[in-house]
Amino acid sequence: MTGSNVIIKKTKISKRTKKLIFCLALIILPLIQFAIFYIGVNLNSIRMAFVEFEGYDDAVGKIVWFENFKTVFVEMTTLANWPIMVKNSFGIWILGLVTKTPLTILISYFIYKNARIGGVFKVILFAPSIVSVMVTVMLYEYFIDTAVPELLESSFGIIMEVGFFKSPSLRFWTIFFYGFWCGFGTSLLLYTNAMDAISPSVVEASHLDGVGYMQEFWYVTMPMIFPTFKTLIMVGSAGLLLDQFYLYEFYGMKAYTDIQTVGYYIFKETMLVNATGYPRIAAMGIIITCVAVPFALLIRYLMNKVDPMEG
Amino acid sequence: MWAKKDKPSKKITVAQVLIISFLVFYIVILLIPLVWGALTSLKSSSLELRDNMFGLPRRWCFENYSKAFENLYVETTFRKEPYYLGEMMFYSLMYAAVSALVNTITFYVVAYARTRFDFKFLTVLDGIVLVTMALPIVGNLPSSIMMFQQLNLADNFFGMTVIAKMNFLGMYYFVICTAIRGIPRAFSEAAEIDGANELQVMFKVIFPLTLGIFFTIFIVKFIDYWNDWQTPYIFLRNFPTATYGLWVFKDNTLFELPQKLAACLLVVLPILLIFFIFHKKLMGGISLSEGVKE
Repeated sequence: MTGSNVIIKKTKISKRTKKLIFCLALIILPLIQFAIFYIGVNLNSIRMAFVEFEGYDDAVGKIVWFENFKTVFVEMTTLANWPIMVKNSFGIWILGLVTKTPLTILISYFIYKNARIGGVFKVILFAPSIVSVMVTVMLYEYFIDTAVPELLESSFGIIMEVGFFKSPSLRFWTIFFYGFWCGFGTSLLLYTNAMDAISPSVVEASHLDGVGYMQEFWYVTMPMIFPTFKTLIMVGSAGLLLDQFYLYEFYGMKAYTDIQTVGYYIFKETMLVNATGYPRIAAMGIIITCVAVPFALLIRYLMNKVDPMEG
Repeated sequence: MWAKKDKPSKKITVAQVLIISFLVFYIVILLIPLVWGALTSLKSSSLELRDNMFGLPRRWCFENYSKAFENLYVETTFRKEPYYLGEMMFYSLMYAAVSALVNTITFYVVAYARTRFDFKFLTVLDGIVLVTMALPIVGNLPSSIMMFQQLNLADNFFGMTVIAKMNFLGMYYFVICTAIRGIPRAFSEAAEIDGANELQVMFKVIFPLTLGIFFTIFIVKFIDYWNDWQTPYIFLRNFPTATYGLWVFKDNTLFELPQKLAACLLVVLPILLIFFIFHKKLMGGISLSEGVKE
């Protein structure tokens, strides 16, 4: 009796150990990858912010403590382009929030309520988001820069002396419109799929209570898709200081200062400098992360406050 | 206001008219540059555009598409000969296929381990993915570049498609977790009673039931990597992909505009084909609340 218990226990232990070994075998490589390329990269980035490299091959560097932060801080507070870049980064996010987000939700609701005709619109609206940004950028740029001025001149007699991408008053809006032109895709898909997941019985019950379609949108659909809405807002707020606003695709390294964003500037600087310039960018990154993280957490807190499912 | 899902109403409301008008207007605006681009790609040269900007090509130059393969190239410091479009499209295919496969397998195996085993330490995986998704870390690209260079993974096809893509961070981890959780435990338990080992349970029981999700994520990631031009630009200059090539062609005045537009359409063609074949799977499938539906 005791002997068989021992055998059963041994078998159980070995089975669990086998499971543990198998489980570890599955996750070990991805965990090592994560340790090196996420934790390692970010720790190295922090380390780099406190050192100075003396040459291209100098991987260790000399510790200079807060010198890089001082340099970046002086740059941020004295150079005129920093306030513009910060304003642009937040401005683009807010503009998208008040224009694109409501429109996407409204179109999604239309698609949800008109399955047949809406399905066609859904395919067409989603299609640009699967096309490479380089393809859409090229088509848009050539069309706006060569075809539209010709059209304006031949149809309305308007002669454009400076192209859309160069004109100081038009260049920001030309690129903002590009984001609008091909940027409904993923969020539209997520909203329509979230709406499709609403139980028809909930909708029917609301109609039995005499709820109209606008009321249904506001009191049934919106609360039901709120998790999707919240996630998209939070992801957007977390990435707003990383957003390059397609400037590198359109202008390469030569984007005009008045339309640059923080994300573009950091990317451009990284491409522009060699290893000796990296510590400055690492320090810049840490300062900006110190702004981005609390902002993302604030948005998360606010979204949880207004979430109808919370509390 | 709108009708479906319940009684269809024949009344067309102002809101409905407004939204349909907006959508039709939007689609026209969306299609005009595409149609213009397709027509321009068939014109004889940039000179023809000066007096025939919007008309049909005077001569339909389908040879622009073959010329794009012969004339558009990227030069690098890695070798003397330039890289032509055909070679770059081959690199795109290799980069996208290998990266998508490695990335999808990684998502799958980590999600599998998380959902099929009850070891407490596995809950940390959810936290890792959530935190990395929510925390915006700015300015770590220089560190990445240095790290990849020091490990000899930069400009290294294996390094950038296998090692760099072996990560499980992102939404698809949760998508696969949700899908595997939906499979009753009884299935794997029955297989275990029949003597199947862990590997057999994974490949012969669970994987066939989640093959649809695996395939959908593979397609989504394939499209992502096919379109990705910044990673090859930063880390894989000796394997220039077609989208990176487009970025180089864009401002190069040596190349004719019709051929550049022909290159654009050639690069987008495989993705459009994939999209039209699998659009129901790709579009109906993914949602933030439910993961992927089969």
